[in-house]
This record gives sequence, structure tokens and C-alpha cells, in this order.
Amino acid sequence: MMATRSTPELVHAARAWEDDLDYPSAVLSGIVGDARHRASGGYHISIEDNPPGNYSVVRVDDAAPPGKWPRDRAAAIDMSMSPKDMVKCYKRVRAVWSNPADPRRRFFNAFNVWDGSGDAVRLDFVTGTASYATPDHKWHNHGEWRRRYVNDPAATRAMLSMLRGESVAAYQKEEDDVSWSERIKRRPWVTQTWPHLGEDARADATLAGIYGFSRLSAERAAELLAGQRAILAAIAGQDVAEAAERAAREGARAGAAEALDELAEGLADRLTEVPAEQVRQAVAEVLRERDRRAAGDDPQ
Amino acid sequence: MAEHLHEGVCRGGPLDGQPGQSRFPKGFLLVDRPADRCWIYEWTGSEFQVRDPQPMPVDTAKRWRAAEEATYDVVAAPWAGE
Repeated sequence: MMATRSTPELVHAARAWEDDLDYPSAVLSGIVGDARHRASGGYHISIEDNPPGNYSVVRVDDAAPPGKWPRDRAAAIDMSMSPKDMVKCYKRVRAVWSNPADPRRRFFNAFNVWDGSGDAVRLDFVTGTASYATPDHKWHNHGEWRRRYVNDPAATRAMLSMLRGESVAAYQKEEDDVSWSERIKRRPWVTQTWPHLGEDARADATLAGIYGFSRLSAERAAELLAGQRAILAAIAGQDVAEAAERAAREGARAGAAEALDELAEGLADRLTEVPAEQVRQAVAEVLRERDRRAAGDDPQ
Repeated sequence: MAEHLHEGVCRGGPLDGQPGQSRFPKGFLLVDRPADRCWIYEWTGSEFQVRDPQPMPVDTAKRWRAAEEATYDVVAAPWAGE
């Protein structure tokens, strides 16, 4: 039973290769290998469907386990082109392959390409070597992704950048520019609280959400502080203990001091487990500190 | 994917007399995307015979399905985009 499937990234990359780049003749020629291909294995076949020890499942960025990437996915694209477009593609792929400092190299295992004469060539991005490729690669390019990146949009961007013939500098600038569109995982508490939001979100949307939430929190905190200041102003000058002592001294009525103590304790229970006076002092200190900072004498 | 490469001369259609290849047993779909035309070449066991010399419009969904299946190969027309 074949278990090999494509990935959204491979399909997206193939569509973009056909439609968005300057290879007018390009037509997809395959992603997932057939049952007969399974016997010999390779990157068109998933890890699960490959023969044990096949060349496509043993390199450090391919083997799973120990890697945690999918075991049921293909990791290669075949794209057929006219000879003119094959040569153009060859030059662009070779430029990246031949530059050890090119950051796009890290996503690919190998590309089989043709320069328009003689045999097709296999450019190995891991070892940096070039070797013979079978004759069918004179009419289709074969691109292998390292299996760990089969679901990584960065691999798609790197491949399309390479196939566009972009310089390293242009690629890196593009990466800086597009990083805001990257999808990032939501925090577990977010997905647990609002499961309908899904597991991930665009980076720019997430930042906007955090900003909005922080601003709302700041506004609510300001309102709370204003309320506390109003309460403090209302009770300013009133000392519950002193009033109780005075009431007791004056003997206004029996048990007045005890009644006021109970009242203070009751208020404290409703506010916090900390005694009311301690709360009042703490809040007053916070407000004084806030006023000091607002006045510009922040010690930090 | 070249373990079962079928090779032979093409008969009829735009590739008449030229060598052809297919990795799959039934033949190949020849596609000229810029002109939105395609032809089917059937593998006879020794050569490729065009099914109909008149071109068909390209159905992208069918073309992609052909690329995903293992019966017909998908080959870009060598003159496409010239």
C-alpha cells in the first residue's frame, strides 16, 4: 500500500514554478512517484515507501527518525521545459549550487538539470559534487528538497528565488520583507481558549493582535488606577482604628470599638486577604511611585 | 523517475520523425502552454503514435492529474515559448 503524498508546499512551489516565473514552456511532470518507482526509491517516494537504507532517507536532513518531519511525503518536483528554458534553469540552479555561501542551498538535496549539450547533470547541494543524470533530465528538471523542509514555506521561497535567478542579496532582502507573512504557531493557551482561531496565524496579524490587546490592557489599568485614586481620596484622613479608639473613649455606646474592628475586617475580607490598611498603603505607594515616574525621576 | 524509460520515434503530429521518451507505459502528453495546445502520443511498444494530429486545448486540471498519475508522462513542447 503506497503511503506517499505530496505536500501543500510542494504543490504551491510547482504551481508558482509554472505560472510565476519566466519559463513559459514549463509544465509539471510529477511530484509523487508511482508504485514501480517505489522499488528503487528516491525523493519522489516517502520515507515509509522507500526501501530501507535508500539514498534518499539516510542523510541527516532526510532520516526520520531521529528527525521529526513527515514520513509519508514526497520531496521532489519534476518540471518539463523546452531546451531553451532548460538551459536558463540550469544556469540559475548552478549559480546557487556553486556558491557555498548561498543560504538557499540548505533547503535542497540535489537538482538534475541540463545545460543544452551532452549529458544531463546531477548537482548535489549537500556534497557540492556534480555527476551523471539520466537522459530524461534533458527535458525535465528534477528538484529534490531535503525532507525536513517539505512543509517549510521558506524552502518554497528559496527555490523560487533560485529559479528566478536572484542574487543572494536580493533573496535575503526578500526574506526580510516577507517574514511578516510567515505563519507562526499560536500559544497553547490561546488555542485552548479560542479553538476556532486555529493553530497558527500570520506574523503581522499576531503582532497587530498583541498590540491591540496590550493597548486595551493599558487603558483598563489606567481606569482601575483612577478608580483606586478616587477611593483613596474619599477615605483620605479617615483612620478606622483612630475612629474606633475615639468611639471607645467617648463611650458612645458599648461595643463600638469591636463593631468597627469587625467592619474593617469585613472590608478586608472582601478586598483581599491582606489587612485593609496594608492594602491602602500599598496602593498609595504605587500611586506615589507612578507620580514620581510621571514627573521624570524614574531611577531605572 | 527514469527506471522504465520508453524510447522510440514519434509518428504523426508536431513531433513526427523525432525521438520521444516516456517514463510511463501509455505514452506522453505533449504540451505547448503558451499556445494552449496539446497532443497525446501513445506508446505502441516500439514507437510513439500521435492519437490525433489536431491539437487539443490544454485542460490544466487534467494535465496536473496526468502528472500525478503513472500512465502518461507530461512533456513540454520543445518549441514552446520560443
